[in-house]
Amino acid sequence: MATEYKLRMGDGKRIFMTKEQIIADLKEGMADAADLGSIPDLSADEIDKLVDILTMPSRMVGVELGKEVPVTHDIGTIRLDGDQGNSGVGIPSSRLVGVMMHERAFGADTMELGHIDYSFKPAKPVIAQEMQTMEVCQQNTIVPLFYGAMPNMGLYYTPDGPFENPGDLMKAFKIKEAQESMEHAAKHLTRDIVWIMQRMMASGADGVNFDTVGAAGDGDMFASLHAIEALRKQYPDMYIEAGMAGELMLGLHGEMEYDGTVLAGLWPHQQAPLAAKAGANVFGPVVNTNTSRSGAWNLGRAVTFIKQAVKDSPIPCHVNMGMGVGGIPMLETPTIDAVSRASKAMVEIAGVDGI
Amino acid sequence: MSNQEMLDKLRDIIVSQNITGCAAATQEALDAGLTAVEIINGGLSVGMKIVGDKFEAAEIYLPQIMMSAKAMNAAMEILIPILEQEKGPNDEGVGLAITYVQEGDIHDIGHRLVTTMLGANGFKILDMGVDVPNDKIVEEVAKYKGKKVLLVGSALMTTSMLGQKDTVSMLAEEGLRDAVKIMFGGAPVSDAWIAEIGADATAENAADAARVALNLMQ
Repeated sequence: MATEYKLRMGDGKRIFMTKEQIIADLKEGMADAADLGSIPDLSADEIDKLVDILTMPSRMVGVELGKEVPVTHDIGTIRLDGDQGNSGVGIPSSRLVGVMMHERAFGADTMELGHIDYSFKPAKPVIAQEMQTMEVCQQNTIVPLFYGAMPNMGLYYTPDGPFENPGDLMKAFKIKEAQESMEHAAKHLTRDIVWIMQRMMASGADGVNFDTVGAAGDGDMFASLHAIEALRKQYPDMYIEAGMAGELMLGLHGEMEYDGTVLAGLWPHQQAPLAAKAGANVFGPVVNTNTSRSGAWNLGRAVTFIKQAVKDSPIPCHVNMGMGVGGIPMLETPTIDAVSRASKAMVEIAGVDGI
Repeated sequence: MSNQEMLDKLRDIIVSQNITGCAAATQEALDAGLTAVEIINGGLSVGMKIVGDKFEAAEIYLPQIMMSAKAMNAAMEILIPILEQEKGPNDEGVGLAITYVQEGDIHDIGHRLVTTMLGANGFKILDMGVDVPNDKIVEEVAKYKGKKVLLVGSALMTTSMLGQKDTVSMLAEEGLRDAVKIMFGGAPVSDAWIAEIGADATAENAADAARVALNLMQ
């Protein structure tokens, strides 16, 4: 009987696969990415390396010595505390304690302060609290500390915001009105992001992390790129990370452009140059995990997309690695066997500059 | 303008999402002597095929495909009465599509788009709306027993998707399973799910749904 290796499905379920099955799934995932993004396949050597990584007997793996990369952390402070209606691990701790733990115990190279609602819009009414927390965190740490939130343009539509919901308008075939609503919402989102970051920078922030750009479609990316452009103009030395929501920029509007490029339909290697053009220092490419496919299929696909993004990006790429992205299963607390293997593959094969 | 030039114009109008232009060009083609079937097969459907291909290749997006579908609908409003006159009283055409969103689910963008695409492809439509209980669906299918009927159910959530299994089993219990073809769609619906519950087909998107539906009803 052929030797079987322990892997996981995209939903985290433990599965057993032979080497031949792993190779077949890696190649199928790779081919899917290559076809969708019109990008090259991985080489035979790279497929072999992926097989080696997935079949290593250790429970967890690490990168080779000398290939270590910076690790940027996002809303991790809140994940420690489990008492705010979120998914924390139940350690009572303030956000300051969270930042300090990440800096001094967990080895984070940069860190982020984020609010429990984790979108720019709901940070507006609590801006004084956010400014004070940023200032106190900066006084107690030396780790580069950014303010982070999701652009989350969905919050600008009814029932959460002032603009008519494009989903409702489109259902009524009011397409033009839906597009206009997205354009209005985008202007307000840009304005809010800039307003919030002006105050966070005044409180000592080292920069901003745009988390899940494009989560509400191409209008969300449009607003975010314009906010990046405005912030770069006002703060030439500010650190700006543009992290994406998914591998494909969804065309909810379909015709929005940034600097002459239609945003809808962009893949990671096409998104990166636009983020750089807007003024970002670091690009955070994302490839979503398909929960119905194996870890091998997902990793083959994710590495193929990210490798091309790294190649085409004029700025460093810090790939998003976490639950449901980067070939990692969609679990609230992703398993270390999958996380460490996917991360090693991203560093050693895709060539990412950070995670 | 030659007949082929008129058909090409109709094709291009669909691709360019020209709603008002489509109705006018359809009337112009009819006035020039083209039949309704020629207009659909040689112009409008060719345009929708291009639109579907562009959507699948991520070259156009939901708003654009909806505009094209609406343009096609504008033409079909003129053509369907003519087709019905040409048909005999017993000709059902491609059939009746009963469309709905599963009980417990109110997400209807995909449902509406698929309904529009089916209507644009010649199906008579009975739209039952959203949050539809299975007993109402069975009741409706029973009314049309013996006719060409396609049941098209949509569910966005895995929780509401589970109700699709009950739809199939309730139709079987009532002796109606063979009286109807069943398509299910929605984000969580997969080929494996369709096979597991004994339905007939699913589709990747609205454009694909029209193609799959026409194949099923052949």
